[in-house]
Amino acid sequence: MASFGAAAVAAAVAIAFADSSIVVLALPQLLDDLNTSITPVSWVITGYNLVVAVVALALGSRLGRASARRVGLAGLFVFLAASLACALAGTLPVLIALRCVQGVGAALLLAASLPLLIALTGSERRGIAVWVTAGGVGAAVGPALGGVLTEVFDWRAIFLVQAPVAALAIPAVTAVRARPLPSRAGGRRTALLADLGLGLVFAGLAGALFLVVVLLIEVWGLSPLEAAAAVTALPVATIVGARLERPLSGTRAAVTGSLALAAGLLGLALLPATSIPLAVWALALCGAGLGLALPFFGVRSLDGPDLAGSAAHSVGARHAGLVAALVLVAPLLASGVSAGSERAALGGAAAVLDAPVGISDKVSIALALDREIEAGPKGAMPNVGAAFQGRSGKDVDQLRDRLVSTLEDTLTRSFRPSFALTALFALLAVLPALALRRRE
Amino acid sequence: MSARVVMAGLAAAAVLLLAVELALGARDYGELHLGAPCAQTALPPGGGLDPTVQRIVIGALDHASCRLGTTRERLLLSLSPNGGSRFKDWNGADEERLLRDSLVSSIDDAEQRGDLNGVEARILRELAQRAPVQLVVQAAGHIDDLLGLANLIP
Repeated sequence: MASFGAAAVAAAVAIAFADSSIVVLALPQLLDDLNTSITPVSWVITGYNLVVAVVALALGSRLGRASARRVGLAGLFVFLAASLACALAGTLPVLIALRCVQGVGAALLLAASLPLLIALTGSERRGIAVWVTAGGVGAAVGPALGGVLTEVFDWRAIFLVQAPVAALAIPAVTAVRARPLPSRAGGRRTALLADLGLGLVFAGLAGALFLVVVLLIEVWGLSPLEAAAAVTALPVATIVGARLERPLSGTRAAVTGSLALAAGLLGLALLPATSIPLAVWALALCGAGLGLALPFFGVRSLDGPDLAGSAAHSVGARHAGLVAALVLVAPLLASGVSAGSERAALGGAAAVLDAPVGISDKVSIALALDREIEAGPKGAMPNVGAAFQGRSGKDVDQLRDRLVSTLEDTLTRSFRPSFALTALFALLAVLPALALRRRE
Repeated sequence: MSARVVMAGLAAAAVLLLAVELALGARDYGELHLGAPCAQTALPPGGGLDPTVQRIVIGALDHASCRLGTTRERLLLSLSPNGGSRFKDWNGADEERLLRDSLVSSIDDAEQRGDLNGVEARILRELAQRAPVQLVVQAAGHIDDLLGLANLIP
């Protein structure tokens, strides 16, 4: 019963972490269904992460005196109700508001879940291991899970499936007798450095969770299911990376993991073609790096006299890292894709001028293409097919293929600075790892 | 699995990925290579109305972009009715006059090449000097219809 309870709470923890990015593959469908644009709809993701970060950091030291069972139950009920309400949301402002409520529930649940898992597993070491693993795998699995649910059912299914996961954890938490955790040795400074490392790793992870998905869907034109299949490399490699962590000593695992994550993100920045195998290879490196680095930072972020408070700070640091990356990457991506769209139009014009097709085709295609680029969302692949409507022939087909390739190449390159910035975040995570080594 | 194997494996996977990407042309990937403003471009070969019109239009674009110090692609897109002004990176030029002059000059070249006879060249010069620019662009987009009309004339 205790192991079932631990599994149920771990699943709820994983789904609350997955919620950081679970909606990302559903964004195009949300855009259509709720008749909105990219910037407002991105708040469905940012709002959740921001609220989790703020509430978890605010809970911090206050949590030690509260009953983990009560806080955990409150979190589960709020999370469950908000998830169901999100599935029924009819407008974007309502959905964003409900996602913020869901974030409050997730923050309460995540902050209280560590004492609960320790009680359910009967050991501090096992409880921490389950909590750290659930957090890592949950964070990595988000886009893939959301993509499958969106493609097979609808974006609303993403929220509906979360309800039973939260509901299953309620009896387990109700039955648990979590005693207040004893005071522990260890300095808060270690936990702060580890929190910094976690924040930087998660800021880097924003590239693999969000940017990749935007690239795969909006530029490469993959369906949510195809994109989900590609980004599955991330959670799979995270699980493998966590197993690889065992033979490495703590600091070496964190440094190797941060470097692997940075290399994977650099690999995404340097993509030389519309190549799913190369993107999967880079994502696998990111996942392996995450699996290696997360246990080191995750465990050390729990150091300090107040384990429950440290857990809340640890949750807050991860989500603060994601939010900081989203805030910094968004304008960089916006300016990159704006310049990319202009370059794409110029590249398209060059292709049209040089093509061996008739003058009337050239003029009509050039004007229609410019209209499609101007009308579509900045950075998204324009509807090239619409510019070729009613035109056929070998030369026209060749021109269409060349245009698609020119536009894809130019727009893919416009993601380069954003991926490079997230790679820099991951690289910087080496510094707190080395600082922690000096302290140990 | 030992620590060394894990680290060597990950390092190899990372280095190999970046090496493969660079070998596949990551450095220049997605870069835009447009010709210099006054670079010579090959004009479409062949006889008949369509290649002739293309040679005149592309020649005029080349000539005008050279005088404006911009690329022919940027000049072409600046003529678009869909917010083409965002492509203008030149100031102070009487763009319409320049375009008309370039078209006339291109028609002169076509006449010298023997693409047009004297009467055709004169009619086209009149059009280039007086017709509204957007009308000329639209007419170019319907040259097939004009050819179709011409075929109807016995």
